[in-house]
Amino acid sequence: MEATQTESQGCLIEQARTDKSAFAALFRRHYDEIYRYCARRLPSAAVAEDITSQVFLKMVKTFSNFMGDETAFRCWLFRIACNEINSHYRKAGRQTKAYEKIKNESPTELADTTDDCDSKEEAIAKREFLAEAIGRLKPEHQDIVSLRFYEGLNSTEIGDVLEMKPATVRSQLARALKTIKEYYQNRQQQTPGKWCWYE
Amino acid sequence: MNNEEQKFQQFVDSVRFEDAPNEAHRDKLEKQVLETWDHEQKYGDYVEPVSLYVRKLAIAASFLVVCGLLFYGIESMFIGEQNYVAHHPEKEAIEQIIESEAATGAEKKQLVAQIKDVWNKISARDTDALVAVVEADETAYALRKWAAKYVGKYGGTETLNALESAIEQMDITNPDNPLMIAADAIRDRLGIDSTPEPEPQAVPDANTNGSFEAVPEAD
Repeated sequence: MEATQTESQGCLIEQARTDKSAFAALFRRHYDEIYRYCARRLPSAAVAEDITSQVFLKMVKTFSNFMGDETAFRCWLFRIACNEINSHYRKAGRQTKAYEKIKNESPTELADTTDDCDSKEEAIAKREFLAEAIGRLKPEHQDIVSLRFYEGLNSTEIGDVLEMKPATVRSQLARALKTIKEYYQNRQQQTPGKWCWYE
Repeated sequence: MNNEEQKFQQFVDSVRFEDAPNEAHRDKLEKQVLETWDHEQKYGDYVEPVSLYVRKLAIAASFLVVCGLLFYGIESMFIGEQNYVAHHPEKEAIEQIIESEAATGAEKKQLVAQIKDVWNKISARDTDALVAVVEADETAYALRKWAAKYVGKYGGTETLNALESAIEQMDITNPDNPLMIAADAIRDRLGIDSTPEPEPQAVPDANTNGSFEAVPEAD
C-alpha cells in the first residue's frame, strides 16, 4: 500500500513535468503545509502569503532541474521556504522581531484561538515566548527547531532539507533547545509566568 | 525524541497558531503558478543537471585559460624580458651582450630569446650544442663569446678536437675568435700545450749502416 502510494507520488512528479493538471495536483498537495509553516514563522498572514507565493513561483521556475521523488520534492520545497524566510528576515533586519506580531495582536483575537483551559493572558504569554525564543536563535537553529516541532520532521528529513548530517541536526537541535531553556529561565526570573514547559 | 524534546513538543502543541490557509490566496496563487508553468513549458530551456554542471565547468575552465593566456601575453610583452634579465644569475654578462648589440624592440626580444636558448644549453652542459653556437657566424659575437666561455669551462678533449678541426677548416688565426677563445680555455684548463708537436726525430739505424730513418709512430 505504502509502496504503491510512493510509486504514484513519484509518478505525479514525472507527470507534472508535462501535464498541467498533474502539476496543479502537486501544488494543491503541498500548498497547505508550506503556508502553515510560513505562517508559524512569519509575523503576519500577509507576509506568510507573500513568502508562500515566492516559494511556489521559485519552485515552478526551477522544477525542470529537480530530480527525485515526492519525498525529496517535499524536502526541496521546505528548503526553498527556509531560504525565503531567512532571506525575508535578513532583508528586513528583523530576525528577532517576529514576536512583535504577538504583542500587537489584540487579546480578543487571540482568545478566539486559545484552548479553554488557558487564560487569555497565558495564551498570549505562550505565543509571545515561543516567537521571541525561536526568533532569538541563529537562523539555522530556527530552521531546525521549526521543522522539528512545527512540521514534525525527523532529523534525517531535516538533514535532507538543510543539507546536513542527521547527527549534526540532533546536536544543533539540542543546542537550540538549551538556548531556549536558558532564555525561558531568565525570563521567568524577571517576569514569572504560570506555565512551564520543561519541568 | 528525548524527554526534553517531548516536553517542548507538548508546549508547542499547546500553542494555537493562526495558520489556517486562505482559500482565496491559494486559488490566486494556483492560477499564477500554472501560468508560470505554461510560460516555462514554452520558453524555459530544460537543461540536464549533469550537462549544466559540465557547462559551468567548461565556462570556468575557459575563463582560467583566457586569464592564463592574458597573463602570459602581458608578462612576455611587457615584463618578461626585463624580469628575465633582472633575475638572471649572469645578469651582468647578459646586459653586456644586449648593450654590445645595441638591440632594441623586436631585435632585443629576439636576442633575449637566443640568450635564453643558450642559457638552457649551458645549464644542460651540452657542449656539442654550445660549440654549434660558437661556430655560427650569424649569431651575435658577444653571445658566441659568452657561449665560448662555457665551452671552455665544460669542454673536454673531444670538444677540443672538434674546435681545433673547425678552426683548421675555417683557417682561423684571430685569437679573439670565439672558437679560439673556447679552445684556449680548454687547453689551459686541461694543461695541454698549444704549440705544434715537434717533427719526429731521426735516429741512426744500426742495420742501415748509420743512415737515418724516420722513427715509426707508435700504434
